Amino acid sequence: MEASPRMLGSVRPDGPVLTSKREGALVKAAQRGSNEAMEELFRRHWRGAHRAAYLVVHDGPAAEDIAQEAFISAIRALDRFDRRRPFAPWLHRIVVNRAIDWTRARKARREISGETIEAWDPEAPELDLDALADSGRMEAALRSLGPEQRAVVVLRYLLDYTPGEIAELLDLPRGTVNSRLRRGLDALTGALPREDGDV
Amino acid sequence: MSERKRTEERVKAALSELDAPDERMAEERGRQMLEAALAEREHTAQRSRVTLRAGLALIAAGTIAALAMTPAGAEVREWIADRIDSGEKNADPRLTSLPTAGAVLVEAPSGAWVIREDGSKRRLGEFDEATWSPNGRFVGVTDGTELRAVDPVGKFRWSIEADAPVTALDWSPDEGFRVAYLAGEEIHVVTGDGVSESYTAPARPIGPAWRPESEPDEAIHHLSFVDPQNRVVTVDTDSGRVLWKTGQFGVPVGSLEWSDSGQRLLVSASGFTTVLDARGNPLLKGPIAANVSGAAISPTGGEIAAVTRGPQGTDLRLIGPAGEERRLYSSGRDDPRARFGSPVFSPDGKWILLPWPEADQWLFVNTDDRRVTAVADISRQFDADGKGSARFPEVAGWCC
Repeated sequence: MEASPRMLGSVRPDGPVLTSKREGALVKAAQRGSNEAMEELFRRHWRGAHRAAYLVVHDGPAAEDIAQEAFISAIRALDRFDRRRPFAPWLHRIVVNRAIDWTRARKARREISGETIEAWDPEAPELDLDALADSGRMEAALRSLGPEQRAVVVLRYLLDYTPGEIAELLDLPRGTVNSRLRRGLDALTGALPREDGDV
Repeated sequence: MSERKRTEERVKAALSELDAPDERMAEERGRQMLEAALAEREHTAQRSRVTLRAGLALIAAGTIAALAMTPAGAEVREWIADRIDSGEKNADPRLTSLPTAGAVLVEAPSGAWVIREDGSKRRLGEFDEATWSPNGRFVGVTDGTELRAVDPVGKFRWSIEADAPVTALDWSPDEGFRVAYLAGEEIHVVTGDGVSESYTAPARPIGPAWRPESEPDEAIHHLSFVDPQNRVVTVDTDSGRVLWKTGQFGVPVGSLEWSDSGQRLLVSASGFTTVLDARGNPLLKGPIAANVSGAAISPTGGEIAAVTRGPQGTDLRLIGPAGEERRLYSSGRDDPRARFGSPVFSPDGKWILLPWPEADQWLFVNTDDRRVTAVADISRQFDADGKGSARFPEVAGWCC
C-alpha cells in the first residue's frame, strides 16, 4: 500500500499536496536543466521559505534576502543534491540557519547606549502582552524568544515538521528541540487570542 | 483532544495568519531573481568557456529585453528616455530632509558636516577627512598628522598625533573599541580612546575595513586591508595573526567594504569589482560587472550598488547575489559620459545617495521602486562663508 501523501509544509500558496515521489520527479527534472521544474519548486516553496525567514528575523528586507539566497544556494547545489531526499527540509535548513546567523549578527551590532534592536532572554521571556494590540501579540511573543527558539517554533508550527525532523534538520539533540518547543509554546500561549468561554 | 494539542493547533493557526511584509512583491522579486539565476545556469552550461563577466552582461541584456516586451518594460523605456539632460530637471533647490532615518556625513572644502534626517546641518570644523563610528556616536576626523574624535555636534573627545598625515579612518564595529588608520605607508590600529597602539603593518594607501563581529560575546577585531603586494589581507589585530590573504590582484585595489553581516567583502578597483566571502574566497568568478567606477555593498550584504558606464549612458545598477542586475537609474543615452560619484546606501538599505558632481546634484534613489528625489546646488549648501566652492563635497557615510 502506498503511503498517504505527506504535506511538506503548512504554508504553501497553492497547488495540491505534494508527494515525495512527485517532488523527487521535479528535482530530477530541475537537475536535468528544466527551468519549468525549478520554477515549480520555487512556486511551491517560496512562500514558506520567505515567511519562515521573516518570523525568525522579523525584518522584511532581510527575510527576502535570506529566502532569495536560499534559492540561489539550492540552484547552485542542485547537481549534488540527492533526489531521494525531500527538497523542502534541505531548503528550510538553509533558510533557518541563515536567519539565525543574521539575527545573531544584528544582535552583535546593537547600540551599547541601551537602545537594543532586540532584547530577549531565552530562559525567561518578559513581555507585557497587555500593552500590545491583539493583532501584534503573536508576533511580539515570537520576537521575545531567542532566534534558535524561534527557528524551532517556526519549523514546528509554521512548516509542520515533527520534533524528530527538526532535530535532524538543525543537527540538535531531540531533547533540546523538545525543551525549546515547550518554552516557545509557553511564551506563545499567552499571546493567543481569547476564545469563547475563556475567563 | 488534549489541552496541549489544542493549544498547538491554535498556535499553528495564529502563525499561519502572520504575513511577511509586502509578500506579493517579494515573491515577484524572488521570481525575477530565479529567472536570472536560471539564465546564468543555462548560459554556463551551454558555453562553459565564456567568462562569467560576459554571462552576467548577457543576463542583464536579456532581462532588459524581457522587460521591454512587457507593459512594465514600456515604463522602463520611458523612464530611460526621460533622462536626457545633465542632472534631474525638477531637482529641489535645497536639501530639506533625508528620505529615511540616519545622518549623512559630508567632507566639503569648508570642512566636515553632519546632516540630520530633518535636513538640519552642522559644521564640525575644518578637517581633511571624517568618518562615523559604528553607531554614529562619534565622528573621527583628520587634520594633517592629527587624528581626532569628536561627537556629532563637534565636541572634542580625544586626539592622537601621528608621524605622517593621517588618512582613511575606520572604527571597529564593537562601538569603536579600535580605530584603524593609515599614516605614511603603514596601517595603524589604536584603542578607541586613543590611548595605545595595538597593531602596525605595511599597507597600500587604501582605506582599511573592519569585519563586523559575528560572535557578540567575543571581542574580535578582524581588519582587512591591502598589503604592499596588492593582496587583501585580513588579520586579528589583537594577536597579529593573519587570518587569510588573497592572491595578488592584477589591478590596484581601490576600496574595501564589509557588509554589516560580516559575510561579504566588496573589493573595488578601477573598472573591477568583486565580492569575497568571510574567508576571502570569491563568491562569483570574475568581476561582478564591467566598467564599474564606484560601488557599495548593501547593509545586509545581499546587493551591490554599482555605477557602470556603457554606450547607453552611465547607470546605477543593483546587483544581486547571483549576479542578477537591475538598473535603478541612468544618465541616459544623450549624456553617456556622465560621471556619478560612488553610491552610498542608507542605513536601512532602502535608499542610495548618488552624487552627481557635474550636475551639482545629489540623487536619492529608492532601491525598491526606483523613485528619485534630486537636490540641486549641493556645493553652495556646504559653502560656509558663501564665497562659492570649487569642489563638490564628498559623502563620507550615511549612518544609523
